[in-house]
Amino acid sequence: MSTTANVIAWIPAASLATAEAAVNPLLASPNAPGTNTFSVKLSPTGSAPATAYGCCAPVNTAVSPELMAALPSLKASLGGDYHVVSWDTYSLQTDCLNWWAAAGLVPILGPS
Amino acid sequence: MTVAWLGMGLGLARYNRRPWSPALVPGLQPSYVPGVSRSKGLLWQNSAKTVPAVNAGDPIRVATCPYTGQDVAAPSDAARMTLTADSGKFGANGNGSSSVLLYTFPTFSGPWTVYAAGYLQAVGSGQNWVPLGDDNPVMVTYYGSSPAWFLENDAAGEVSYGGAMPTGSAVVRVRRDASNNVFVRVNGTEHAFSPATLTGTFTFNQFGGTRYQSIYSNPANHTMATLVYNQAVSAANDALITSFLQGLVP
Repeated sequence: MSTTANVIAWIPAASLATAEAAVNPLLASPNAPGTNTFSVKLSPTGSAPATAYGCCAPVNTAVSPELMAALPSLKASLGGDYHVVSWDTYSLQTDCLNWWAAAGLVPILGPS
Repeated sequence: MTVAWLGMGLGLARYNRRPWSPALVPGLQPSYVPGVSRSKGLLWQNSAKTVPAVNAGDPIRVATCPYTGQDVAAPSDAARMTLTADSGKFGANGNGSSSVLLYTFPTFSGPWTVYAAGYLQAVGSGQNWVPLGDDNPVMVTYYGSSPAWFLENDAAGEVSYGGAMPTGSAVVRVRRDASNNVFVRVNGTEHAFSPATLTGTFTFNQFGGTRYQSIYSNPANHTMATLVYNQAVSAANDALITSFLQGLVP
């Protein structure tokens, strides 16, 4: 059984800057310049503009217990939602795409 | 005389059985071989490289190439891949929405060869395997919805080969020769892309996903190795590399 959990979350687009500032001190390592933790653009239709941003972050709970403990307060202050899934049972469709869809959110794909 | 010839014959036999090594084939670029990096203590959960990634599920922030010593790194903790283990063979997967490891390769304007070894459990519609990608359109990607392999250059020129990947272990080679002919070989059978040639340049810069198109490898598809050569590989050396990769998959 892995000690890693996948933290799947979304925040309102208006909260992006605040959310990044709140999360950054809790990370195991700083993000590269210009990179957001909440990097997945989301909207009700899957088309721009993004109304929310999502992430599906692998977190080793033994390495980053502070981040795991802070999740409830982050949700309360930032809005949006999160849930935690064991890495051992994580499913992209069920735990990420379907969960966002239940909140009325679809990833915005780039040009093809 | 007989003894001498016998000795030479044994020497050749030994030569033909020699394993692949990075020094054997010129042109190897920084590559992503998580199982080998793990065994050498070269996988890390954090960018300071103080927390090693050892067990299945450990996130990978930095993977040091065991052959060139250069680092490929995730741009954020949220973008980390995670270590996988299948029948004792270590690889890595992504979360399917944002996982990448970045390394900016030199721009390839001539022939090149890319090898990928994986253990695939999700190859249907919407389920992809992305050995190499980029924020630009350049990529080497199996796109499950088509299903097809796609190859794109820096100018978004695109070729494809239509064919579903089998589930299970896979060793794939994608290459461009000196005449710009492009091919994909899956488990020993090579196919020409359509169109058959692709000119232009290729500047690969990420393993595991292509953010340009928001296409990422399905977490159920585990990558054991991605080897990149900035030149053609001879048939003899190709056999050695392929044998090495076959040893990495379950």
